[in-house]
Amino acid sequence: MSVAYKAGVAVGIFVAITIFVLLMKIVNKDRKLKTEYDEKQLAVRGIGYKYGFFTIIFYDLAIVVISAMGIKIPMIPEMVLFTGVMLGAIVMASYDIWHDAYMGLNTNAKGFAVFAVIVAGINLLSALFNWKDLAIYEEGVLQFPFMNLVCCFAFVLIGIQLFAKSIKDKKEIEEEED
Amino acid sequence: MKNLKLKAARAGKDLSQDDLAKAAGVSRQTISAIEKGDYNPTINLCINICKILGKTLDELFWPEE
Repeated sequence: MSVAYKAGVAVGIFVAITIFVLLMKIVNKDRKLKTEYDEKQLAVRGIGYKYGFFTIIFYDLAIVVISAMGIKIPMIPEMVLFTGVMLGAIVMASYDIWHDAYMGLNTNAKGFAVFAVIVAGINLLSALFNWKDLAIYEEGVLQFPFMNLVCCFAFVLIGIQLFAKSIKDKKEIEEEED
Repeated sequence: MKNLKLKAARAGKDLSQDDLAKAAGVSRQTISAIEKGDYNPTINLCINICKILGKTLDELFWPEE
């Protein structure tokens, strides 16, 4: 691995963190980096983390068993690890969404929607560009750029669930007012 | 067990769940869950809600015999 490549990765990570911090400040109404939750939301998020943790454990065990059986997983090792992390994150987010603990007290819902669309869009574009160059799937193995598709899928899934939950909440408020 | 006393006290003050939630510093869904009996709030939140609604803990949170 050349020095230029390493420097490129380091700069890329720095830029990604900077963009993430700026977007988080836009997402939160009070422009704070930290999202605030009430006591019920914190308790629910604890359970969400638990389910996310167990998802990763079961995923890793499944990978170990599949590998022990001699079945080749059609992904590079980095992607196998990353997919597990994303699966855990999706499970945690889904649990939190349906138990009213995903959006914090200071979260701007519209700001978050913009954030999710930007992240999903960037990842989708990146994946499409790589697809054009056939870099995602080589020699029967999914390559690292497949990570962009997984990220895009995760944010789209979270977005759809948040939209469905907001409709459910609106109905609940209307029933409450009647 | 539903907390109808809380719901009645809130309605008595002409507050929506969202109004009470904002005053108490919690989400609307948390107030909804307390009223439905799906969530047992901490004593601090109970006291906060009582202060906002001008009621005592007994009046809002003590179960009827």
